[in-house]
Amino acid sequence: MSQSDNSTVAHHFEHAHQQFSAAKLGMWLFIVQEILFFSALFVAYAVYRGLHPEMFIDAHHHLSWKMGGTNTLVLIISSFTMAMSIRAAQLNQRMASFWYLFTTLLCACMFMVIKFFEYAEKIHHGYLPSFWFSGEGVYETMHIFFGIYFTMTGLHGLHVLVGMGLIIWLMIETYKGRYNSEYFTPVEMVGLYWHLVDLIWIFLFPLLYLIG
Amino acid sequence: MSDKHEHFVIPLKYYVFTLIALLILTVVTVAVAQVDLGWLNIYIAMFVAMIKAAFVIFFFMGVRWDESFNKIALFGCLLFVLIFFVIVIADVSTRGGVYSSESEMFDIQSPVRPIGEGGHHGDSSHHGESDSYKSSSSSH
Amino acid sequence: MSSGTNYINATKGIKSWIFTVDHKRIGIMYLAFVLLAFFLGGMFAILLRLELLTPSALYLTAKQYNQAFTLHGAIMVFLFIVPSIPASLGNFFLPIQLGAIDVAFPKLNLASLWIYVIGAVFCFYSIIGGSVDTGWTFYTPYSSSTDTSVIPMIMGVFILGFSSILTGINFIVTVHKMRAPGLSWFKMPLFIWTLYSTAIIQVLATPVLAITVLLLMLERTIGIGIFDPALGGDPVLFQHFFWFYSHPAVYIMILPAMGVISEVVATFCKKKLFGYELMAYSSMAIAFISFLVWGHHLYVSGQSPYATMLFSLLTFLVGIPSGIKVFNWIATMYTGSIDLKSPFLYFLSFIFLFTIGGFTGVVLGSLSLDIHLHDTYFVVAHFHYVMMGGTVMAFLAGLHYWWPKMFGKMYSEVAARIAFIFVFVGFNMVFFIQFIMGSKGMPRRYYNYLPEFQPYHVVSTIGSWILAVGFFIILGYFIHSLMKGKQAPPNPWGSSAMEWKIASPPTTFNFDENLPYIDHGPYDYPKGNS
Repeated sequence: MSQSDNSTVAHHFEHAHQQFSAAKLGMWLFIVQEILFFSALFVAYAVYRGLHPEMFIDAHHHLSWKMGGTNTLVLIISSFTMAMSIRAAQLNQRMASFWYLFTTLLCACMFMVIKFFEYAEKIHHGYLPSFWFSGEGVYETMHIFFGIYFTMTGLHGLHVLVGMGLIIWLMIETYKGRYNSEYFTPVEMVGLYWHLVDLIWIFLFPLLYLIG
Repeated sequence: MSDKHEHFVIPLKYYVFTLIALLILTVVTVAVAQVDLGWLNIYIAMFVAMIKAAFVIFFFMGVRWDESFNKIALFGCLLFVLIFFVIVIADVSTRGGVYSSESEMFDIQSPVRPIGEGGHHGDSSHHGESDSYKSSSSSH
Repeated sequence: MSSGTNYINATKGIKSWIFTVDHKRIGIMYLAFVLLAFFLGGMFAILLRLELLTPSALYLTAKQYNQAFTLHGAIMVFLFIVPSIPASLGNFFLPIQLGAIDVAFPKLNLASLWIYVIGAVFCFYSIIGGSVDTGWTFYTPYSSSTDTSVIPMIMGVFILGFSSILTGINFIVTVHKMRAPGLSWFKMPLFIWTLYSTAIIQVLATPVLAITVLLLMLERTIGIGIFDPALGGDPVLFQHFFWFYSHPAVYIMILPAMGVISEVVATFCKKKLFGYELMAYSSMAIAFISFLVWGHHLYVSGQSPYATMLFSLLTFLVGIPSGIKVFNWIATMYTGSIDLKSPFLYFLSFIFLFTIGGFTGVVLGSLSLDIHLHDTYFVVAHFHYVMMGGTVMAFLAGLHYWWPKMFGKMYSEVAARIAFIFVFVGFNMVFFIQFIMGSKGMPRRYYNYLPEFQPYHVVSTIGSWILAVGFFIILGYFIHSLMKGKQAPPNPWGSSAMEWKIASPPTTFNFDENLPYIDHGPYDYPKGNS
């Protein structure tokens, strides 16, 4: 995970495979803790949706499913290019790996730009968490929906931003030729993280944008 | 622990097929949401989301070919998420149930009333917004 | 082998400590920090007990009193007891017992140490900048409306949680991937089994605490409205979220203590641990069940009565694996060659105090009794018997047991026994009396109380002074040992465990040549092997 020397095995590991499989298990455990981290938000969502079903239906009309849907497609494509980038690294195709990473970054930027316009629109109409809520709605508790909406998408967006930073780092390292079929651990790890970001959005999209 | 030193490269067809499946399922879930099926909508949406998640997990993340403990870690943690969900929802959805069974089944006149019935709770100098919320909620 | 270079004198200078990736140095630094936190938390405890000497105000204002008990709780829980055994003793001995050179991610290990320090800085900042008075549980709606500095404190807790998660991930991976050749799962010492179970809880539960305090932060800053009843939120939901972490966290605190106790009892009885496999399984069982019982903190919070019944039932389940452990420790002593050294004295007091703490836990787990005892000093006494009588006693047992290995110096056994008497007597004076006053109705966290409770409080406060004297004696002879202590032999207790087969203190890479091949069980004594 933190080994920066190319193709060298850290002193406390016996061989490269042990190092790789340790890093991968560590990354899976990190993903496990991310899942638990987000799970509390989904529990909160479920509780309040259960308590105020009509309010949720009414409030979600203020979100644009077209924008959310576009973002879903963008993230899915970015997940695909990320997976392809790992594959290219495994096959020693350095520049292919680089351009796949670049495409992933581009998709992530697009996601954030669309997110920015969505947020700008919500802010403009006052659909915000309660301290700043000034939007119009039939239900008094509507600020809860937007509290949850901004927390969930905000934390998810933060993860996207962190992922973008990691991908830029990977691009620099890939360009320098750090990764090859023998050593591509960081690409694989960031890949897992990026898929997690995609996974969370897969659930956020129908729950926030497509309430029946 | 397996001791193969060669890294397994996942065949390209799995990635392409997963991408196509995910794109189709996204269209499906959006399309279904446009039709009002009542309570069914959420279940269909969640079902589709889970299929999509499974695709991402098994193929993009390579869990299908991964070490067994990594699988246990991932699916094991979902059990704990489930515990979290089920128990919190079980509590929230059955709160106040005892008051109805007390009055209906056993005809007990409970001196305890759930908060909210009386309309008064907490101190009024809570937040700036709290007063406006409370007055509007009691009128609602 | 025993003299010459070791991990302490291998490299010199402050930088060689700050940037070290050696798990032993990181463990020692953790030890220093958690002991500092223990001292600070203990000071708040002494201040609180002094204030409670009289029924009315003595020298603190009511608000200062609230802040003092909050800081006592928060420091003791988040800065001391959660990292105490795993991060200090665990960091030091987990790789050695596994026959490894280091943990799987040494740099991550170092990062988690300094993240811990950053978190501690945030907590201390909140002491200076208008200290928190919410209690360590930060219950809403008070925590979302009080004007004291809740945010720095919960920011500190958030960061400390990160440190805890990283340690947990590190330990799980280390146990899976770094075991020495021949060391199969059921040849691992029980200390490792308990650290492994602890790490699982850390990875699964701590993120929920992180999101909970993050949501509380958002509740205070932007009003997301899910915890604050004034905004339509549900304060009981906060308690669910909080205890989803904090109840398993109780087992983060006690499980490593159980591991230390298992090591100590085998060594000082010179006997194979009774029911080894069951002990390993029961550690895992405790880790799992710990996730099912959090609602017993919410019996009187307005939780659904059906949920309380479920939680009460599940709570009793924890008694089974805990009971298995207590019986097995006692059974291990049977026909053993018992050596009544100070670590073993702490073992005995652990058994005694933990059993009392555990049984009163069953009392509190039953619904109708809890209605009476909830939020009284009975609860305070119960969790101090488990946390202090359990974890701190085990921590002291482990510290005395492994001290010669960690520093290569012996301490005065006579002084250790005298200190033990002070600690044991002082502890029971402070807390046993609290069971009685709690059952008579003295509520916890009260600044003033009825005069009829004063005799109990006086006994408790005097006990706290005796306890403090005991701890200062310990501090004294440990410092003396570091300065002028006798050189420790590699294996002063005649133990068969892995860590006693290497030099005291160990060399930087633990094992002189190749990694050891481990082909026998952890408690390889002539007696008790069948």
